[in-house]
Amino acid sequence: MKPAAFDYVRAERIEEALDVLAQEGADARVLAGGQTLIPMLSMRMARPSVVIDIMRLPGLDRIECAEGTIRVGAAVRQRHVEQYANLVSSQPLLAAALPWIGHAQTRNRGTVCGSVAHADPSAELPLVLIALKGEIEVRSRRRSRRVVAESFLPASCPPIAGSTR
Amino acid sequence: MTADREDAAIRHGATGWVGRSILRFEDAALLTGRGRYLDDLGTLPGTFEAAILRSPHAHAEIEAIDCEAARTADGVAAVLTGADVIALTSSLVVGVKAPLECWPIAVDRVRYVGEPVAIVVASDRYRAEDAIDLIEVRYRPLPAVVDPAAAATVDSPLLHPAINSNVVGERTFRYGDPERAFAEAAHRVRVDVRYPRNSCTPIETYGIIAEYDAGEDAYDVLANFQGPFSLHPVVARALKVPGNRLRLRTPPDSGGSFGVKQAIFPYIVLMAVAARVAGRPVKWIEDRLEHLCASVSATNRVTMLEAAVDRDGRIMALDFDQLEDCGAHLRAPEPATLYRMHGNLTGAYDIRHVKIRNRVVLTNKTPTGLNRGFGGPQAYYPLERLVQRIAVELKFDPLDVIRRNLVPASAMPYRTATGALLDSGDFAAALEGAVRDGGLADLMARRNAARAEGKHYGVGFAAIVEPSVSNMGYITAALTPEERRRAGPKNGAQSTATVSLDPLGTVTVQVASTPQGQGHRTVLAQVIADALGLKPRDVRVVADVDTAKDAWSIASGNYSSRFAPAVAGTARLAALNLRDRLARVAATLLNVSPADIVFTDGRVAARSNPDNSLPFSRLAASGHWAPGTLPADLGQTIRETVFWTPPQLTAPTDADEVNSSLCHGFIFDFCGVEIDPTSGTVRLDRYVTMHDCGSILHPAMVTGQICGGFAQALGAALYEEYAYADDGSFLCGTFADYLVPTAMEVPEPIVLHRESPSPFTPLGAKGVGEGNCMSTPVCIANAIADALSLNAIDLPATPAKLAAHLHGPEPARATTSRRYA
Repeated sequence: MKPAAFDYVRAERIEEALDVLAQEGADARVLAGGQTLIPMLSMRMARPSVVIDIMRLPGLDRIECAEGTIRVGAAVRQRHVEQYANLVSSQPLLAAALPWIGHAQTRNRGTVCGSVAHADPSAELPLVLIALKGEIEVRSRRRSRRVVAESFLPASCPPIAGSTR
Repeated sequence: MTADREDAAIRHGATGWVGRSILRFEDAALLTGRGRYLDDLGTLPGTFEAAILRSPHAHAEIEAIDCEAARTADGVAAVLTGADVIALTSSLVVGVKAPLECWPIAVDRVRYVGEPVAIVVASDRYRAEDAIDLIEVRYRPLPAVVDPAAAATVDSPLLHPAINSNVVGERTFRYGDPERAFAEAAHRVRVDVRYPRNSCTPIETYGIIAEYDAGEDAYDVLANFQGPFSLHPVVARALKVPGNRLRLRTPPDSGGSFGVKQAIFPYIVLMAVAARVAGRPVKWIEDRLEHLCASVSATNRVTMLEAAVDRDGRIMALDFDQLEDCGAHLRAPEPATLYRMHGNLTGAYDIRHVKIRNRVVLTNKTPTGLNRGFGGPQAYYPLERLVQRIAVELKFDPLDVIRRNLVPASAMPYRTATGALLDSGDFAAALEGAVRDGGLADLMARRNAARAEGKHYGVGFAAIVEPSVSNMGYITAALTPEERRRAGPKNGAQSTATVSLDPLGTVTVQVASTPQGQGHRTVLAQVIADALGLKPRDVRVVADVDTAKDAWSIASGNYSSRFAPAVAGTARLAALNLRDRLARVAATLLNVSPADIVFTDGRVAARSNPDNSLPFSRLAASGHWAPGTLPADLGQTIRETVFWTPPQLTAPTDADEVNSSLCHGFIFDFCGVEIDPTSGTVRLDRYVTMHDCGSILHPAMVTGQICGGFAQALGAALYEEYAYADDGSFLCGTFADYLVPTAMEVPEPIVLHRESPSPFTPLGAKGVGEGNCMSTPVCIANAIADALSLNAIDLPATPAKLAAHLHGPEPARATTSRRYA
């Protein structure tokens, strides 16, 4: 349960994170809460060459709520959404689902977008996102686009071997 | 709650410290993070750390291992494979007469996922794991077998080609005249049960620090081993040293064990050899993945059990066919799980005719070993399911079937058909007390009301005896009487305790009970305080073991719920011996007769004239400062060690009667469950558990044992299974896959007590640590069967399983789904 050696990049600007992602490609993994990635590193199930920590990127920790939509930044912890004012009235399904995710300790660290990006088929947040016909904003160095949850998630479902099963 | 019980203890006439729920001495350190667990203890400078390469295959030949890159990697001191280990060791001894070898590391072949294949010793664990990655192993996969029934067939893949079958032990037993009882029976009732694999998963995993002294050719090992210390000779033999050249020590604290830390012993061999090869001490801390995958498991068992039943629901005879799955190797003390319950296989019932066929089979799974309840859940699940089936099939109230079959109080002590001597108890009175004080009538009313609303609500029962203080000879029932005669008798269970007085006249107690959080030190202080007229705080208790310095024997350790009945009682005997000698010294000093001496409130006084007294500490110190003043025939008054083995623990007879345990507590449980009609989730509405564990030494700790066992049993009933795929791959490598109930899932049971002191133990106490692991899984299963009118149910009763009962099997999955396209 000790990770293989990897480089660690704590990105200060989003462009920096995107540059490293572009250079390292599939060998890079994004760290955003680490409730799945860190155990996978420790079990050597994930062996990235570089881990890019995005938790200090400016602006990614914001939650924006308007007219029946909620926009959650990539560095927003699950706990912050759970405690967001008026979540029950604005996003009742999300509010109902959040307490079922892991436990308080993992929600304190885990991010909403991290769970969506990991796309475990048994996880609550990807399911909620599909049920609500949500969208994911995806960025690379070249462009930014929006993908509907249903087409984002199936494509990125990890193979069964990616979990412990 | 604690205060109530303290009052109750006083009402019951407890005048001393024993019987009161005093605060535990252990807790101040444990609750503030100051426990001294193995990984907290310092190591010598230069100590290496080890990591283990484990098999990814359930069954494969090892064609080649290339360790060259690992050997030259940064920080690596040594790499060991099976060939290196067998060069310095012998096979671990095996408990059946078969040409089986049992190595702690794979030799030429792997037989379960997680089996050690190589060990890397390096300057730290990171480098050791990095080097593990560099080892190239070429495997030739073989067909695996995980199902015990399939493994027992002639065309199964063979695990150990040296023997021609995976069935490595088979014995049949016959008591009374079962054939006639079945021929004359009004009814026959049968259950078929598959008891699953599970484990008690202590929060602290295995840990070892091993050293080799080349000058002495001796090993010194510190390990969070829990006993039994019968494994000390097993390890010494494997390391090819005399027993006096294996010093085995345990740390002051151990983070839970529940039997599981018995099975650390193969790793003790591995790390001892690693230290020898590396030339420096080696430390190894097992990680959680290793622990779940490859430490140890309880056995899974396939049982067919049939009863001959008369018109009134009396069970006249039982016919057992037990197929025990011990995993890939038969590790000591297996097949003990199968035989631990042999004497009390008829449970709490008076059944005189019994037939048993026992088979032990090996499969491509982790080897098995001790686990809380050890053999109890596997044996009582079929028995208590059978009792419920008798009630259903004969249309009796299940409670009446239990009542009609209980061993009557007038028969105590009662010799069972298979040889156990049930020591004491009034089972019927305990049952009626539970029915009354546990509110069974109210629970039945809840069932009726729930069912009237269309809900799935059921009530289950279980009545069992809880054995404690194992007879070290019971395991030889795996051998035939002829084989036993050749091997020589094995019996008994030596407990040890040492009470010593230092030059300031204070008292230290040392025992070899290796506690893992239970509170042994507190209870021993109470026991000794009572014996010597002191306060518990005055008594220092040392419970870590050093085989080079302490009194110990093969029965030492923490298992078979032996602390209260055996260890605490032995400590009392040692204190009383010392007290009687001190009384003679005091009699001289106070000029009265020894019979007139009393020990009370920290003083030693003449009963007839309490003013004629001296401080206990002065008397206790006199053996150091003025030995010349002691009566010449008295001997020393400094240190007293008592070895105690109960005479009732005799060797198995030629008729295979086995008194497998010294004490037999009684448990009667009932519960109500409601099943969610959509999801199949079980909600435990109420759980009542009545215990008679003899004299209660510390009521709060007894409740703690009961609640802890209950929580683990709830896990076994509803959540936990060490599941394997058909190809032998392990499916439960994390706690996300192996679900352990948390505080949120465990309701508080209603705990009731009776106290029928054991006539066989010094304090009248019986064991209480394992009972609910034996009674609760089947009690919950009986309730679920009642709720859903199921004829058969296997654990764990997961929502998916119960939903299939409720809704029928799920429709086949659409194959055109885009998801994985």
